[in-house]
Amino acid sequence: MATAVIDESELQSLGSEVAVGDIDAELYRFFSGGEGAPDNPVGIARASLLNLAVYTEDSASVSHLTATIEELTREAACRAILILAEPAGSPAVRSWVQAHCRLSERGEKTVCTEQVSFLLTGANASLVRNTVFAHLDSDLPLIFWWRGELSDVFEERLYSRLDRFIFDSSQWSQPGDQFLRLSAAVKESGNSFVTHDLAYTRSHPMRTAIARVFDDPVARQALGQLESFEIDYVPSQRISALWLAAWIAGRLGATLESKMSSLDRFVFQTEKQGNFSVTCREDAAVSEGESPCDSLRGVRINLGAAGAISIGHDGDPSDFWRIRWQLAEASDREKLFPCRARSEADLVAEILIRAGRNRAMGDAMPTLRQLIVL
Amino acid sequence: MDTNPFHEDDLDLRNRPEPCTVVIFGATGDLTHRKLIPALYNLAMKGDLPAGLNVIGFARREKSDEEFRKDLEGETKKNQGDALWEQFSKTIFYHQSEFQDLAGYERLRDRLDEMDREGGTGNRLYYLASAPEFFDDILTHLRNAGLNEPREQGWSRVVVEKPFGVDLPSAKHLNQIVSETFPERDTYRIDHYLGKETAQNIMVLRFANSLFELLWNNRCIDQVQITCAEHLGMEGGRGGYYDTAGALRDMVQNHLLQLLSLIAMEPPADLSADGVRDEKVKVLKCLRPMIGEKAVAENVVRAQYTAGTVNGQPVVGYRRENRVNPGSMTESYVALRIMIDNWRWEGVPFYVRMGKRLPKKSTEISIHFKQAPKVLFNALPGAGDTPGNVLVIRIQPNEGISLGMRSKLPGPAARLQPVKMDFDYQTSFGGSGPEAYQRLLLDAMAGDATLFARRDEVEQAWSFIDEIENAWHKSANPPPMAEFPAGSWGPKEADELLKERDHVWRRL
Repeated sequence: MATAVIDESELQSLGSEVAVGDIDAELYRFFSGGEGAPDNPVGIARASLLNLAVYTEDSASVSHLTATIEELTREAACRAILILAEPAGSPAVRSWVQAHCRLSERGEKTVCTEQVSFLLTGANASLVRNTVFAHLDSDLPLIFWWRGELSDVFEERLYSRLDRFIFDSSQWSQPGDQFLRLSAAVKESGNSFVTHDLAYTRSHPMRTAIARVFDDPVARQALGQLESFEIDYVPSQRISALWLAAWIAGRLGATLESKMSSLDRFVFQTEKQGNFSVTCREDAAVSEGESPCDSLRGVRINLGAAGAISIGHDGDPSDFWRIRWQLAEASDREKLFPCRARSEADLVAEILIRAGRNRAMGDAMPTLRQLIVL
Repeated sequence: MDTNPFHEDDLDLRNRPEPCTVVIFGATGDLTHRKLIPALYNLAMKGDLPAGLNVIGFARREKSDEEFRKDLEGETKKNQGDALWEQFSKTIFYHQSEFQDLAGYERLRDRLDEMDREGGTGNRLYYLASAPEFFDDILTHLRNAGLNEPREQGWSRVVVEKPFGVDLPSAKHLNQIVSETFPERDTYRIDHYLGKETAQNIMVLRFANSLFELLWNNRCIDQVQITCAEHLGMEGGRGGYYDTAGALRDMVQNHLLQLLSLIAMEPPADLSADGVRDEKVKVLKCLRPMIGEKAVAENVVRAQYTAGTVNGQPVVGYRRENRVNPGSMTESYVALRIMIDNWRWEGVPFYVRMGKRLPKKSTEISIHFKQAPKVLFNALPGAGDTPGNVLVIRIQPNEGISLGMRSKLPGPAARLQPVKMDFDYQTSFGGSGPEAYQRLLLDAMAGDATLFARRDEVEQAWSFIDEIENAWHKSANPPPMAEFPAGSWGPKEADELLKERDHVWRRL
């Protein structure tokens, strides 16, 4: 069996290395104002509303993940448990602790959250499960953020104890197979945990914008003449566009009738609107890093003789989309809608703060799976 | 299609605001500039405003749309080249008219109809942000111009800013005018305290946690204190208004009695606006009236501050403040012992105090639980000197909740020490939620009146307050006006009010 190769310099970002048995004592020393604690005469407040376990098998992402955790704890106070798993090698555990501190909004006190990190070599399901469960902040919800492909570690004795499971299907090489596996797990657990796909969360601003568009009564009336949605997405974010297509179908009570040509062009059927199509197009002119609003570049809604509505950028990127109503029954109008760029930390924090059963995603999942496999 | 199929409950759980035109009366005033327009702009920034929202500022001064927008920029626009402001400001218009001029309202009607023809919805939200003496005229002319009538499938609502009357007769008169113009379901009497997260959290704390509600009665609670302390005095010329109102009318009649109602109410049948307000008004009906000078003198202390020091700076006494009558008999401080004569609260005093020029700014509610029996640890010498269990709800600043309890001091002796468990909104959630006006404006656009006062609530509160005002200002032998040095925690008479029952004001 190959021996894991870990870049020790990456591990320095994890804080102070401690023996696994000393983790609680080390955290206590920190929060009681001992060595290493921030020097603030008003004192330190420890904040924790939930447990966030972050699992990765990518050892190169350690410092990036620590920075991400630090960023998201500003929005969502939690105990972060970072698990870096190396399936190769003999079973062994190394652990680190650190705190992420910030001054409170009024600058009066230092608010801290803790990060406990583990490097598990020879990681198997049993070792991961035990490491997570042994270091939870009791009575608080457990959210598990799985990074990368689902592996054998994702098994019933782990997921049956979770409250939420976060993943990013845009990172999956075989999303069809992975979604099938995930759906089976959710079913097996009796829907005991809520799933969140970051690829779906990325579509949140666009979903909200579409909902706002149809707050307009004239637009709502014109929906009866819906012909098509055209969705432009940035490279590597096809799944977000497919999620949006599945969501649109779900909101309109539509069922998939066919896929047209080799493009991502789908025809849906509804009782009220008749047939309409959704086309997802990669906007190759924009690279992922340049996109100001996550994964989706814009949407055009064609309403036949009733007109059209577009949501997208106009000219230079900004923190807003421009929504344009060009409807036959009303004068042309525009409105800016916020769509600031969001980091991975922003997306996870949004999920942690929003909570809920995420029903709309669950409702759209069967259609998404159809779109992926077509 | 009647409903918007794209809204998700998971995305947005609150009531959804509907497109409308907001007409602000008193558009050149402080409230519009400092609160209303910034609140609308911040909602636009978050994408929470409905599409098709327009704002019309109605005021007396001559001004063009452009000049009005320019005036509003200072308080609102975030930075130069702010694209959102450029667009948002295009939806703001100015309408010049005297409040007493019917023709001005007729021109407003024509303008609104024109906007509707260009894609408006017919929904109108009239916001009375003018000086209260104009409310009569505005409401009467809205009615005479037919602006109160809903257009086709639209709605017409009115938001009325405080003060809602200055006593019971004036409140009844205003309510009468309002009800002749708008039905109660379309009337939104704003009390911005109810828009604060911590005020809304009172019901969650009580009715979503089994722990507290079981103890929430006269068997377990000894006393309740509601404190609204302000370190400011009469800066910025506010003495002119304040000297005609006083602490009792300015703060207690509305904000503090609203907080008291939320603390004392029974669980509502549901969370609808009337479900909640039905229970709040029942509390107000149960307030033991203070009829006559004697009852008022026994249960209420009024006072004015004298010269003192606040934040290290010397300050003048109340009667020497700018625009305050040197012989003023208006209270800048008031402390009350209020009894609620119902099954749950019989015998539990609710102490309410409000004052200007106190040591710091703070609004808090504290629930003081009864002492544990004086046996075992509480029988030890000195055990009774430490506070018992106190639940504190901090409304502002430092919004949060804390629970005090007794704990054993480490060591061989059984010595008790008060300790505190603390929940702080900022620490746990990184902030304390949107500004109150944002929430309340959205609710008014959505037709949710839960956080607004109903007619009977307002009148019931005035009915209680008027007895006290009458004893102070209309009786032959009015209770005295006490004094205290600015920067201290009020007059000794207020301490004595609690001492009668062996209580003390909580140290904030």
